[in-house]
Amino acid sequence: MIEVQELVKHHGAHRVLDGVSLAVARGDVAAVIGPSGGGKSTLLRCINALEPFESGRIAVGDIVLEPDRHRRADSATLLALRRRVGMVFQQFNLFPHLTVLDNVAIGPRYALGHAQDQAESTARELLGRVGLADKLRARPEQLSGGQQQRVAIARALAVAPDVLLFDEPTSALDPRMAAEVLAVIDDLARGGQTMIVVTHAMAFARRVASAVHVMEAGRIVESGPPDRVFAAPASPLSRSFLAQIEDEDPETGG
Amino acid sequence: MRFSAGRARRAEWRPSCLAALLLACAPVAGFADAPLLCWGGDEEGGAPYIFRDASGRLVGFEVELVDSLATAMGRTARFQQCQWDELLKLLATGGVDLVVNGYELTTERLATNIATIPYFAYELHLLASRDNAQLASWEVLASPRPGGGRWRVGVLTATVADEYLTHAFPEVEVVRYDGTVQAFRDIESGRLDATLTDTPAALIYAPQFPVRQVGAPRQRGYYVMYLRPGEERLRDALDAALRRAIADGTLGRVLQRYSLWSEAQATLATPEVQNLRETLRPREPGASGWRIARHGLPLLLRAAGMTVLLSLVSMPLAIAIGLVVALGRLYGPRPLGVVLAAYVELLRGTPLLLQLLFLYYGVLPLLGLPDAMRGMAAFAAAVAGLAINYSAYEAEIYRAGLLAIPAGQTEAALALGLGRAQALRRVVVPQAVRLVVPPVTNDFINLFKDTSICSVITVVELSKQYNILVNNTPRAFAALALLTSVLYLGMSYPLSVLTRRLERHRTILRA
Repeated sequence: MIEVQELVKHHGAHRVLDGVSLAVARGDVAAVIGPSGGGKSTLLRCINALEPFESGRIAVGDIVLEPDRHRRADSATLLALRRRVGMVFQQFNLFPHLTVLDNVAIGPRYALGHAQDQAESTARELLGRVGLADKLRARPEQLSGGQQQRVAIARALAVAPDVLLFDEPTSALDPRMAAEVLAVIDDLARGGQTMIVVTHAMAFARRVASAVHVMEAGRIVESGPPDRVFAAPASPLSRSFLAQIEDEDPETGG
Repeated sequence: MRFSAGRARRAEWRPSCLAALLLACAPVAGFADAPLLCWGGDEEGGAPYIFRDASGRLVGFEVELVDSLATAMGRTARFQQCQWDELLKLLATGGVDLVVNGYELTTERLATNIATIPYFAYELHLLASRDNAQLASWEVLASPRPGGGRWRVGVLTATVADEYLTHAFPEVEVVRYDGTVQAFRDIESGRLDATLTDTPAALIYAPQFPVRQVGAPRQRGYYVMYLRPGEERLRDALDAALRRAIADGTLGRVLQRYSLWSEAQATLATPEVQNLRETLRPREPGASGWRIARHGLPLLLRAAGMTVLLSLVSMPLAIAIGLVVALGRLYGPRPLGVVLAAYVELLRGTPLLLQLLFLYYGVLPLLGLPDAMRGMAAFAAAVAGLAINYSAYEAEIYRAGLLAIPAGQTEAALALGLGRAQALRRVVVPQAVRLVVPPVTNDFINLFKDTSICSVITVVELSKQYNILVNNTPRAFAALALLTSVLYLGMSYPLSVLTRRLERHRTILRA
């Protein structure tokens, strides 16, 4: 489904991604963990073409991104890619001028070109699925953080993407709200949604992921099934990372 | 009477006339042996009245006349510059002893001032375009204009020419200017059929423009010097000096030097002319300022309508152009961004007044507007000028607003599969618009007040109408000023309230 090969990206002299390779099959949930500044978020942003990269290759299904090709703002490839890959941001990034319903309907309405009533019925159904059927007319600022992130998930789902990228979806939330968001992601995983989740919520990663990738300093230092990676990390780097976070609340993370 | 190429009104007279009040006639101990004779005029009116020669020296037939009178009286003449419209007010407040600047002897002015005997005889000359053969006589002005519309004739605001034309030819569309040259230029560009000026302007400007005189000049009148009531002794001294200057040919020689001598000037020596002021009695001597102002109210209301119309048409245009410019600067290709940045800087860095004059006299004639639209030209130029000028300010407001929308908003829209244009249109611009509502409303109030500058291109809006009325009826000055202020405030106050509401609304939203 997604294949990342030898991805390299610089911010000036700093190598943010230093030859990252990653494969995610249809229905898989890949959890990407690791210390802050390791390049996890950048990896997601490259997959969604929000950031260019210098070398390597990203393939999503039959769509292939090559270095700098996607700088061209509205190329057909870009639009096709983004319609296939949805994204949920750490800071939600809901549209504050729109109601909850319109936030979710805007994708089907304008990205997919559906009629307004059709877009709204899609939005209603998805908001029901994330438990917010009673908030359709609310504005984002009237919702709690957890509710906002659930709206953001519904918004990403509304264009029916093949893959969903989660960029630390619970890092801005307190534990109770994080739990309600993770429950929604849990549901999606059980429904067979292909996902890449960058997270600090280790217990969640262990429970839901089909594979865990540990990133540090722009490289994937270890990949494997969660039980193996968490119980017996092979790389010294992942060993020390996992040891460090052991004291933290395993369900929510930081 | 005065004429000038471009008159920057507002802002300018206040410092000069105020300074005059404080300084001009303050006694300067030990400065000069001869007592001063402080006289006011407007050198912007230019030749042949009061102007600077090539070496910067103040010359003109009025300068030479006052100098010779002062010498004869044993005094030293000192000139005080002040905008023509404001000279009589400067006189009233004691800033000068007398004003000498082509002021006609009129009953209205005699109501609040005292006058010397006349020093110049003028007539009103009707000057039409050489291309326009149809306007063959004065009487033609009373008949419909061939080719449709009304005859358009230019005059200087609130002069005898203005009053005569308005009353003698009510069918004519009177276009009021602040400077004579502008009227001649509009004849040249075909926006005006003719102009009605007095003798000096006709003598000076007719040879410089493609115009011809229509019929014989009419309405002989006289220039006099005005003083404050109570200054009869000074007036009598001036009269005596003037009589001598007329009798011994001093005045005649001055007029000849400026090519202003004509047979009509011989009448200055006659007792009828010298006693003319006695035969003129103010009309409606008891009419209070308020009664006069009440008569002006319909005119003021109509002019207020023009002010509102100008604002309501030009502001939406300014907002639309400003948004496009801001989007082009932020998201367009680089060369476009450079061009638009230059556009913004040029418009913000030059005065609206000059932009309006440039549009009206420089650009509009090139477009070759159809004859039927002549009457609309000034309005169109005013709207275009205001819209373009304010678009630069709106563009900067929008640019700040667009930059204030977090990058995450665009990214979220792009991640949904919206194109860049869609992301702008559906996500970024709507939020920026909400953000800029208060500053834009504030700018609307500024534009509303700036509409008064449009009077330089003959648009009669509220402040222009006020000026016309005050110049025609100086007695009603206070009442007219109060009425006009109330009208302005009545229109701008609701806008201020709206701005404050919007500010508050936004604060609540952000909290």
